[in-house]
Amino acid sequence: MKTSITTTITASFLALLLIGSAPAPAAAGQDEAATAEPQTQPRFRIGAYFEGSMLNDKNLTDFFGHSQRNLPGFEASVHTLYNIDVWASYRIYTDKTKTTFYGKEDKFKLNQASLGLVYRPVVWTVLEPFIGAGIEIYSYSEKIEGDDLPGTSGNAFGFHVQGGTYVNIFKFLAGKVFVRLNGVKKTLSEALPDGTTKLDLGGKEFGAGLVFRF
Amino acid sequence: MKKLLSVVFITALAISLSAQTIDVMNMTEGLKGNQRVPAVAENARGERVYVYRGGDLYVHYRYYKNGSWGKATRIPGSPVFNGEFWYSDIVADNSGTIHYVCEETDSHMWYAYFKDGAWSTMKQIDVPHEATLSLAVRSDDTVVLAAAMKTFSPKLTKDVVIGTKRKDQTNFSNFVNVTQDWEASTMVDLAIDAQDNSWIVYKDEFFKTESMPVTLLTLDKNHKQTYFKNVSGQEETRTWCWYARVGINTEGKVMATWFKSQASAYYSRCYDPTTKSWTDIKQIINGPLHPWPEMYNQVLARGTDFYWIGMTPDRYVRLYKYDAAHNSWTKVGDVSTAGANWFNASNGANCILIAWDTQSEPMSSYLTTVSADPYVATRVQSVANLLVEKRVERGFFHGYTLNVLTWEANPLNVERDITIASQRVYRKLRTEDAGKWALLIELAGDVRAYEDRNIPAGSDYVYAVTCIDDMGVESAITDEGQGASGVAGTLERRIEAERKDR
Repeated sequence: MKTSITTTITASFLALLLIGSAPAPAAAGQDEAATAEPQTQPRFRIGAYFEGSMLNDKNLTDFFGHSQRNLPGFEASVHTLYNIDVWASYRIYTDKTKTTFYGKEDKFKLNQASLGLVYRPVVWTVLEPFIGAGIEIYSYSEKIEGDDLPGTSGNAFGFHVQGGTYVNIFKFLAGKVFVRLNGVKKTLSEALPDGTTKLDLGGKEFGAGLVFRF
Repeated sequence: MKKLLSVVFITALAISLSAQTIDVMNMTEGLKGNQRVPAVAENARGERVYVYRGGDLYVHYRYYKNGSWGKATRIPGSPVFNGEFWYSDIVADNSGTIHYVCEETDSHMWYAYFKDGAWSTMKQIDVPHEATLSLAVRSDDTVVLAAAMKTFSPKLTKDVVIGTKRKDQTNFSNFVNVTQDWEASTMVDLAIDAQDNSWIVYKDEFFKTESMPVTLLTLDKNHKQTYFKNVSGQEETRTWCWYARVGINTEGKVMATWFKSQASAYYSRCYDPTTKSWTDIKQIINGPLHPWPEMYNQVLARGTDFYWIGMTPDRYVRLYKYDAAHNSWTKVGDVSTAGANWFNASNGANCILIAWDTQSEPMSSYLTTVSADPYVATRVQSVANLLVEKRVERGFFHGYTLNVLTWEANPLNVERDITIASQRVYRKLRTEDAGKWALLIELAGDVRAYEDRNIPAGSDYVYAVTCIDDMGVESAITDEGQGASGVAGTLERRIEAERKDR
């Protein structure tokens, strides 16, 4: 069930190319107008996406056996000034495995919330490339079947930078591709069984989605 | 002077502390005389049976349980032993059953067993008998009886025979003549080693020379002779040796003792089957001048020790302990408080038990207990093929190290049909002494694995798993399951395996 990074990226781009090649309504003339009159831009964007997420912590990914998990995410943004949006996103990274000896089910869950600013330097008819930066607010938990080993939960904070582009399809609908880099590190008060006290929940995310704008 | 007194006092105190305590009890107190030929045994449950011929000429017993003796009761089926009633022997098997044999001299032997607090009906053993008999138990609870058999036709001969009684039988059978000579082999004693070989000593007799040496022969389980030795070395010197006795300690060493009438003294000689070497013949003590039962003596192996019980010239029963380093015997103490006629000794868990009767009327039977290091004859063996693997049980954030123990039933226990009531798991650090074994857990008898959880990751433990039979006897820790020094089944290996699954 593994999906490689290459496969995900290729699929995302192919999808967006197909969508992007469709004629956009009232595309002609809008390019100039959009650039010249940013106030006519839609104010809100709400979207859903599907991404490949890779955590930096090799201990964790090795233990659960996946270097990448594919997961859905949600985002919303509001336009402020000068093509700058306040942007937020939420997704849940999950993985599961069996404990090493007794084989009990072991579930890991990472709630990832992002808050930041996105700047769209140019607004073309079809493409609206963007860059952004902000903070990451995570909460994680591990639950193990039975009561032999205790469950664990905690929070972690960090930052992100991202880049990508919106691909305008219709007036109220755009596609989106993105890449995001997160830096979220945590020092554990109780060492892991192998003695490690550092937890690196940062990583790379890349994906594609649809955004409603209004 | 003060200093000298202190030294004397401390020395006396040390001697008194190290001395073995001797307690004497009249087992037939209040009864009329003629209470004779007692024998006593204790099984692994700590139950004792004291048997003797009462003044009414029947065989009686007293039963000791939970710290007190019951009243004298007749053994069912006991005939009237009207004539000479000289010999009896008693032995507890590994399952707690106590077996008793007594004789009518020049007639027949009789057998009964005591199990679960009750006696079987006494039965006659179907073999003609002369004098002396001896019982011993094999590891599978087969009881072996060695006795002297007299035949009159075509001419008078005396031979040593041995018969067996398997666990599922009610009397002895399959008697085999193991001497089968034209002379007189009698006054037999028997001991069985850890491999179930029978070691038999007896008084041989060469009519022409009137020499009576002590002979030792060894028979395997099929009664095939594997060893033969003239122990006393008196074949041609017209020396009469009587009452040959034998014992085998837990090291497999064999002690033979006998009385030499011309010297009126008891002698011993020890054989080490490992080195196939005999010690020199050693005189133990002088004995009575008068022959017959007063010359009776007995060897008692207790763990690695040998004890010897014999009669002094004034007919007191005395206990000695063997000093292997010097091939000599050290007096433990006087067992009897009066001149004795007969005695029979056996091992208890914490003492040596000696039943004896008084020489003069009114004859009474006594029990003397001599404290000794704890000892229980053990046939149950610890488990076989004990393996220890160090493993880790972990989630991502939490985990612990555990040692996984697996083992198999010991084939000897299976072969001997021993019921394993429970098993005990012991642990110690590899660097610790053997005395540091700590009990971890007691498991059911059919369990074959145990996980020692939450041990320190860097620990280096070794383990032992003992078995406890249905008598409560625990096997010795003879072999250790060695803890793995590394971590078996590492996380990386397991993850790799799971990746392949996915």
